Amino acid sequence: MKKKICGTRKSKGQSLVETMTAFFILLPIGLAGLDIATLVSATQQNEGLAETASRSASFGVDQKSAQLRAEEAVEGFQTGVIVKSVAVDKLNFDLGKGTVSVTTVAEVKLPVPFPFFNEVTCRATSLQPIVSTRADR
Amino acid sequence: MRAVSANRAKRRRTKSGASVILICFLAVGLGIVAYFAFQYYLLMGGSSELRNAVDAGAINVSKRVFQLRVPAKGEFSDCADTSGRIGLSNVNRVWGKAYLINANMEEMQRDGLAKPEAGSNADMAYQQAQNINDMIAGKLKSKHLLDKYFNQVANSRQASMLGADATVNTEENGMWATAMVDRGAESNLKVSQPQLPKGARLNRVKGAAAGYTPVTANNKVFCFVPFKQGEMPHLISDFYFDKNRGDTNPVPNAPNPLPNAFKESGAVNTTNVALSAAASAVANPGQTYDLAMPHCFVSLIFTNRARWFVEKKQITDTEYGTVPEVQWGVKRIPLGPPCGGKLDGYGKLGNEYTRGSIWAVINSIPGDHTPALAPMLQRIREIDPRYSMNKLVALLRNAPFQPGASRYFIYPEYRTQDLTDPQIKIAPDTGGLPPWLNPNTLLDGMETNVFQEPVSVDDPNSNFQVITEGKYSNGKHEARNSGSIKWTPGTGFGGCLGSLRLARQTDLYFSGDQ
Repeated sequence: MKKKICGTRKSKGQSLVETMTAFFILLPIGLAGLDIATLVSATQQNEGLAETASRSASFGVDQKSAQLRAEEAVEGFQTGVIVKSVAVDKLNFDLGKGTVSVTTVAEVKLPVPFPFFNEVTCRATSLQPIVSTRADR
Repeated sequence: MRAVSANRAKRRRTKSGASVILICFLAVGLGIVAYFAFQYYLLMGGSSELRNAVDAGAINVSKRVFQLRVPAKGEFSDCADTSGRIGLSNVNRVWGKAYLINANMEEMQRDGLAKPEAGSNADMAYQQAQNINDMIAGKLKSKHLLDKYFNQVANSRQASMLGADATVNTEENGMWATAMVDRGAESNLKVSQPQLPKGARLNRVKGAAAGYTPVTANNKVFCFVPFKQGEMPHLISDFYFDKNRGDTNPVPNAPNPLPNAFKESGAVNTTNVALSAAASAVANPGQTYDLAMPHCFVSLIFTNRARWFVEKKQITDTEYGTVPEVQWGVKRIPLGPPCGGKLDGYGKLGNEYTRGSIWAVINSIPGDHTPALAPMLQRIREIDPRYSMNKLVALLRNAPFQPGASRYFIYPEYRTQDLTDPQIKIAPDTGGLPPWLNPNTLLDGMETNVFQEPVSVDDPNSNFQVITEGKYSNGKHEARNSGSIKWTPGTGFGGCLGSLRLARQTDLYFSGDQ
């Protein structure tokens, strides 16, 4: 008797298709997660650096010395493959208000480049009271 | 046939697509994990922002706390800042002056030279200093007053990771405390041993009075606030702060010592989260002062007495001034045998005051008068700690003696409004003295001899005689010049730290002896 098999499909290559589908969904999620984690870490480091720079600047006696102190604090930061560079972007030494604010900027290279999104500039600002001013005589 | 169809149908249900479902579940699961991870990051980041904001707020409190000041009154108006106020940065000047007044009193009492009013003056000085201290303490221990300094900076720093509306503020019922840290470290009041009265001992560290190390004088306790040299306001660990809290570990015996460290707590309250943090900071004014009594002075007085002797019997005594004069002290005094007759004698007095400078006047009778200046120098050092005997001698040497003036004041002049740069001057009491100097201030000590001058015959003063109706027209006569230097100490309450009196005495001898 001739066996007629109607409606069956070939299962050859099915696992490959499923695997490829998985990759197309899971892989981008995973890679995006890696980028986000890197960005988060870099942002935290930059905020910590802004804090350190502003605390150092708070010991300055004028804009110039505060700027020098902030830059010295930033120079001590170890850059690498991910955080390519850091710098003091802005420093406002306000003797009237008695505060100094320092903005640091960090250039972050994402480990997994996406189109139009492979380098990010992170900015962080920290405000500290100026402690170098002496009490009134 | 039917069984075959069922089997075929079963085979038609394949396993294809099952992994896609699994992948979808995994993707959703990953998304959920990523979401919670992101929320955790926001929480940690926000917590860090809060801690940093609280740290900055606490530092601002320790920096601004010196703005809390009270008016300077009474005896301590000369210890005030340029606006006439006293706060945590210059309160050590107040305690330093109060200490000197009481240490002077203790010295006078030990030497038996204290009048009853000296004790009450010293008590008043202490009480006034304590009142000023307590007023400042009231401000420093006011959470409400310090909160505004905290919020000045903390409010400007947002905890944006905790919410767009998340700002840091002080907690109403949060951790707030004061402490006395760096016990035994140096204060901002520089002290030198030579400026202290005899017997006074002040614990010193790096040339300054030791802080939170109570010291007694005249049975009273004095306590200075420490501020380490070269430091600025900075954070300290909560452990170190709590170990030195005023409520749990008070400074022994010190009545209401002022704190130098402050703990503040801040919180973020949003619809999603409520977090709080605390930080401790120590204050430092970055200013130092000398232990001193700025508006005080010493006086130098010249008094003169002449005693008249005829044939070794005292006939009279008179006073003479600081201008040369001739006095006929003995008139028509009968002389005994063998001369007989009547004697008239006169003295040329006041010649010691023609020497030019005050120093020359002091040394008009030979002898080293420098040791007599020692008690005066110690008191001048309570005004200017850097003053020396050489400077005092130079001052007296360069000051012309004004004929007719018998009282001089040695006092400080200042260029700065906070009275921290004394320039010692000398001037007679004929006018031109600073307005704060009251020349009629009563001394609260008793006079004592500090130096006895040797006798000098017929120099600088001399005498002459005329004998009438006697066997001889003249006889032996001489003027014996001498004097003593007397010191009257003062506590300094009211301004006068002491008075040095040069009591000159000229004994004029007349006779008919040949």
